[in-house]
Amino acid sequence: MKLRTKLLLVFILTATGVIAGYKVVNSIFFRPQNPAFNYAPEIKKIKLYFINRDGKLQAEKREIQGGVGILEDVKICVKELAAGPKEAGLFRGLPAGVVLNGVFIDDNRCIYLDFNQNIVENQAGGTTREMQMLYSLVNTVLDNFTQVTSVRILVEGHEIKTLGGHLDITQPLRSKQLEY
Amino acid sequence: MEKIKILIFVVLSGVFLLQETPARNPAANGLKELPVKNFCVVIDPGHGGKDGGAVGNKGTQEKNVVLDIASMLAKVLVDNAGRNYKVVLTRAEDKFIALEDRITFANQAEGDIFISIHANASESRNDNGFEVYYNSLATDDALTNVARRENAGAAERKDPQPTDSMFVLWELAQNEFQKESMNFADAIQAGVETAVSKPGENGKKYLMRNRGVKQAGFAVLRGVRMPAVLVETSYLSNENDENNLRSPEFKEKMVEGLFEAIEKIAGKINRRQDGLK
Ligand SMILES: [Zn+2]
Repeated sequence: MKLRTKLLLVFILTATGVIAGYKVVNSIFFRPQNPAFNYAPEIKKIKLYFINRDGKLQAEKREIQGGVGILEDVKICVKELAAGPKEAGLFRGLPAGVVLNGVFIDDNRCIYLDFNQNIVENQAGGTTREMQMLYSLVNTVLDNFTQVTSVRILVEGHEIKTLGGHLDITQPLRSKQLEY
Repeated sequence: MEKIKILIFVVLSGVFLLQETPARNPAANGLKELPVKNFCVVIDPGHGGKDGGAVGNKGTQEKNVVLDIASMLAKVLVDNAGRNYKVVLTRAEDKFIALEDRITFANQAEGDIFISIHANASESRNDNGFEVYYNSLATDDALTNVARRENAGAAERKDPQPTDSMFVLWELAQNEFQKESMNFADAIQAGVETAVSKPGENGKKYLMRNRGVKQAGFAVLRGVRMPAVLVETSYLSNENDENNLRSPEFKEKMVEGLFEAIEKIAGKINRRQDGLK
């Protein structure tokens, strides 16, 4: 082999190594430190959307001790939502007994909320109630976490067609208003 | 993937060709006239069996109310002296039927229109009234367009996605159904409003708020290949509405309104089908 070919080969290998190394380091260290998704824990003001006497959404403000990233904060926030309203004249959007098992986010900044079976079992029925529940959840997540573009709901780790037999939730949800 | 699409296209083309053949036969055989076509109405009473749906304060269950109304509507359609209706119920008893099965059943029956009947409920006991839904596009999320779109062609304003011809065909078919679904929803809204506002026996007036026509992504409406609507008859979570839904006379009025709307839309769809011959 000629010296020039050898040098070229070494150069290519080194370049490939550097690029690959950069990518690995980048994926391990850079992405988790993206300030939009990972940050120091702090006390946060959040808005929880419940249902008022007119059947529409109304926000209740709360302070939470935040976690070290968006996944933890979403979990805390949805847990507060599931616990129900504190203000008089507001009704819960999520049925009682609903537990959030896990939270994930994908490359399209769609948040996946994985609930236990109670989100289906404890449904009290009615299309409007199903809408109120979905809006309460989607609004709370999208309003408090502007980095998130849409919400998907899973039950015990699985996709399901509807929560109460009416609305199709096989697409990412991103609508924020409850219009009447 | 591409191969599957081509296969689907070939199968569909085959279906179209097969469908055309019998239509030519009567003329070829020198028959005087085509037999009167039955207009097939698929009625889908929501819920059933282990799925009771919404429940009122007095214990009224959605699954029972909607089965009552659906059965009454079926009877009125079959008994009417004018048009020849074929009525298909997705359930005629208190039985659980999965959404997928309702959809398959409706499509296999080759219905001309589909009407799903429900009773509503809200977290707020003040919420009340009657509303008619038709589907938003399957590409939208379930919560968009809850307030009705003002113009029928709204779907056409979406950017077309020309890369996939099967998708375009599907979109076109969906748009066509969507317009007819909207017309059907409008007719129901008007028909029920008129029927319910007439005083009953003993001059009884039924109070019913008309919440109008709306769009949302109902799983059952997205699956059926025909103009389709979902009627929310009234709110079981509201005292006045629950009392209405417990009244046989109110249910008769509701059925009268639904029947008028079906008559209207059947006339339109039959004329269109005649125009195609
Ligand atoms: Zn229902």
